[in-house]
Amino acid sequence: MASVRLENVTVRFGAVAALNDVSLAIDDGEFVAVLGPPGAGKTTLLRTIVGLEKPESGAVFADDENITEMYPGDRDIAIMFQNLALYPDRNVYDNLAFPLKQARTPKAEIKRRVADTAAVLHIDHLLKRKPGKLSGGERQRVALGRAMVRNPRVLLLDEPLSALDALLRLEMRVELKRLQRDVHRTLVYVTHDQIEAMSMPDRVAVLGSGVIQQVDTPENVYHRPANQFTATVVGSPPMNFVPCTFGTSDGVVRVVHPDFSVRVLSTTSAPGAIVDGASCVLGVRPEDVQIGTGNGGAPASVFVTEPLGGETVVDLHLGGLVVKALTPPALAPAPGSDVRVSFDPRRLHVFDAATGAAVVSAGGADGVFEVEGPSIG
Amino acid sequence: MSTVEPDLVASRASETELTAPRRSVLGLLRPVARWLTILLLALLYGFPLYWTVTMAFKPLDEWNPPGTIFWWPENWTLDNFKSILGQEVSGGGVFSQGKLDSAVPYIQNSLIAATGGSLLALVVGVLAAYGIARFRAGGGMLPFQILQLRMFPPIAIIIPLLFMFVYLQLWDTLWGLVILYGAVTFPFVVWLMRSFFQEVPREISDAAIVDGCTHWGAFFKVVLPQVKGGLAATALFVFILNWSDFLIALVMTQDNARTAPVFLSALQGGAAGQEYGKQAALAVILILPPAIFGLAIQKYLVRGLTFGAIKR
Amino acid sequence: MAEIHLSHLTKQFPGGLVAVNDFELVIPDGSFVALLGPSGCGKSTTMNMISGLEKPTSGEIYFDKQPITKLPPGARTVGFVFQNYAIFTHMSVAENISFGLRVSKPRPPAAEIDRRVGDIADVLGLRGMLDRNASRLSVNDMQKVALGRSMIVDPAIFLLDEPFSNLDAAFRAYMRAELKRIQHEIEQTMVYVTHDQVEAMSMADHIAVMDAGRLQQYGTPDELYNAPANRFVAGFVGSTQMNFLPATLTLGEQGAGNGRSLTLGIRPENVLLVAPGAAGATLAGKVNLIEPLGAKDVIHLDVAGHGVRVVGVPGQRPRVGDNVGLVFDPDRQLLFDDETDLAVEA
Repeated sequence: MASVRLENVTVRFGAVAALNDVSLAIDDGEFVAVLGPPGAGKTTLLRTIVGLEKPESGAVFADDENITEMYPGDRDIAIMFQNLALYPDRNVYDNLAFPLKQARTPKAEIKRRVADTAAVLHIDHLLKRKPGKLSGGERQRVALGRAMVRNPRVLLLDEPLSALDALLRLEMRVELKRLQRDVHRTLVYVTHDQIEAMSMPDRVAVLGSGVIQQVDTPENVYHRPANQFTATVVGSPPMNFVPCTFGTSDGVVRVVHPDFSVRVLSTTSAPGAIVDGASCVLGVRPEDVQIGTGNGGAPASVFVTEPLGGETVVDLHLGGLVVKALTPPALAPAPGSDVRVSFDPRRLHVFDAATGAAVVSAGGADGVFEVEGPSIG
Repeated sequence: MSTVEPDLVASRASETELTAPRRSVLGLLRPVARWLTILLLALLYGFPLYWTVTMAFKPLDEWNPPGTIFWWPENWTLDNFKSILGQEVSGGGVFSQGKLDSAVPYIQNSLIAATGGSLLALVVGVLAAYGIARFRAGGGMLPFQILQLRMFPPIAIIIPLLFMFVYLQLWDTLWGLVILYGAVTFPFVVWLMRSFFQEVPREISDAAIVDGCTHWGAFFKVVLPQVKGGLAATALFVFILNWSDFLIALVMTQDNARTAPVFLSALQGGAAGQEYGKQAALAVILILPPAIFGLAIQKYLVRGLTFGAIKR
Repeated sequence: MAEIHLSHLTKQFPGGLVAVNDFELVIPDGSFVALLGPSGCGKSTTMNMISGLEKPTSGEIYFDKQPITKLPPGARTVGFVFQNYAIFTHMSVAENISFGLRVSKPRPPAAEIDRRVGDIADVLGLRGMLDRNASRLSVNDMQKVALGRSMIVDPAIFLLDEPFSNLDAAFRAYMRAELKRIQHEIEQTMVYVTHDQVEAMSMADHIAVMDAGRLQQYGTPDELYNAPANRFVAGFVGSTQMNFLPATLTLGEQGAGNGRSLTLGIRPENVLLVAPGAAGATLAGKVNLIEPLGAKDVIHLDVAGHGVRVVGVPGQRPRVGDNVGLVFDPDRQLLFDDETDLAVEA
């Protein structure tokens, strides 16, 4: 186990900065997920930590030792690649034993460690088979085993579950979490699947266009996103963004939209962040959009409903925008109907329209926002 | 849109009826013409081979008697083979004594030159191809620059090469042939192996490096086994090229390093006369080494060696 | 628009693998149908047979009651949208979309082509980009162009093979609603192949669930979710996977009714956690693991040696190791016969 630290790391491919002044500190034994859309730089981040990419500037530390110039094989960091990269002409045993053979481990020791690793991952009955004869899930586990068999101080996983079908992914998610808990290793896990990023790690590092957006617990990333980008990356269906303007009159701050307004009761944002008349963006997640048919709230019309079984996604036209809401199936309005919408004040966010940074975030608390107008009937 | 739909569907249906095979003269002719063409091509390519092989087993009086053609040897004989390999044969030839120059030393030269040249091209070419494929050695243009070497037809540069070789005292030596054959087939190796190496996913050698290999180690232990099939095919291709070379050997050799193809052509004229049977026998013998090589590496000429390594 | 009828469709590959086995389906004209199933279930093979890229070993395919099984793909007027969009990068967006029309015989007049391109661009939201070079589009817009290209030739039906799997999650959610809206607007039959049950559920009017080459159930999303025909469908459909327990745990002797061995199925959101031993608590369990998913928590429990997942109530999160009682919603319990895997009347 070891701590990992990146300090101001920039990695460039040609003119493009895949990682731009990235700093990240991961504690000993921590499980950190790196979450971001494709192209954000997540794989580059892992490859830089393991040494397959050299940073143009900045340094990489493992246990406070500067390993930026160290050869990948010497860093005692193992990586499981997104496309597995199993050695196809060797059987499972030889795949698992390969790194140990390179380190000139004695044969008896190799045998023992391969057997232990195979047992933990339930692949001990497959040792004689070649990768071509394994199922997708079995190959994942062999690739994971090859990374684990060396007992590295840091384990890096690059989208390990992305090619599995939905059922297998569910199983493996629980397996991995249990494994990490039992084995207690520093784990850096890259994914674009926000469910994985929410349910497994201790902390999430959100990466976008080579820049770290926010590093925090999954809870905080979900309920208190630091900016619009982060707010979009977690949550399915993604957060709704409604362009509004700030209005300050008589010392009362409001977020104003032609069809509704929200009063800001308390804020810890910096002075000057809220300017009368400035554009801002109101963020609200679909599960916090309330639909009713009475007189309160803003007018909207339903154009499509997507029944997911346990809940239904209702797509609404609100003042020329598309807004998604989540409702229990029984309460979903019919497509084409006119409804009124309102928002849960404990779950609203206001973002700066220019920078996307969060200005005010309710984070689940009362007393931050108040939605004006009569409540939904 | 909806009003146009039924017409479109109907008209499309009738179109397909027209193109489906109908019971018309035109319809029947098509497959017949196809088969005729195939038959013609088969004859064109197959006949010389058939004629040569049968000729190799024909006795002297069946080679080219006036008035008749022997489509099949009546009296099978191995005399042609024996004679070409240096054994004395009774009855002799029409235009020569019973004994010809043995072809054995020339076959030996061919083997050494072709094998040596191919090995040289393969070793240098494979390493170059890996450097280009994996590390983009030489920038983007290097592969094209290498191929340009081959765009000169050898005949255009053979005279200057002759002068060079004479000066370097490599003319009429087996070493000279090996170097020349290696140089001339090197671009093919680079081009073929480059695309095979490109098919090997980068992550496999990355994985080997992370697992503790050096770049060389990753190359030998992990990458090279992946391209076994491509390597085998390339090796065979290059060997055949070198084995059957005529022009370079003709210009660059005389008595010491003369190769079998040159010898075979010498059999066609002059003192030896029209010894069809013996020429045919030598031709049949010369088919053997590439054929044997091909059979030997047959199991490597198999695709799908990387199946299972990478998920798609 | 066309009604598609697949009649006793079977596809066996040389080597013995039966990819599709006696598949029978009627897809109504103008409807959006999803073929849903895990990888290897035969959905892509079925779609390939509809398009003509594969020939069935036996069975017939009818478009609007006409047998088209013998027609080559080019003659079937089918519009494809693939996973990797296959658009021409050296052409503009307008040229890409109009390609099918421009190469058709007879070629419609230029004004007509422009009008149709304009209509499709409006439907897809590509109006402002018609002159842009296709290689300079985002991945998401490229997928729209691919859709437009197949739409312009007015095919009888659309076949889509997991077209959104390369798109990022936010855009995928957006495209699902868009595609549904587009399909309602143009009223063309669409057959959508996917392994993602969320996609199938959110977009399709009807879903055909397949496994191992066979049709498992054909129904509306609601039917599949609340009244699954067998255990496979029950376990496959639904974002939080159904829990399966031996029926004897909750129903005692009745669980083995009529000598049959039964399994109880209940969805995680239909289980309530209460204090252990509270009234109405059918079973007791221990909390093993908690997955916080933001909008809800998924709580993993150990109930008499079986793993059970429960959707937690926000604000009431138990701790790992707590002992709790479970209350099952009586209207939402499903029973399955252990031998046939079929759903059984309670």
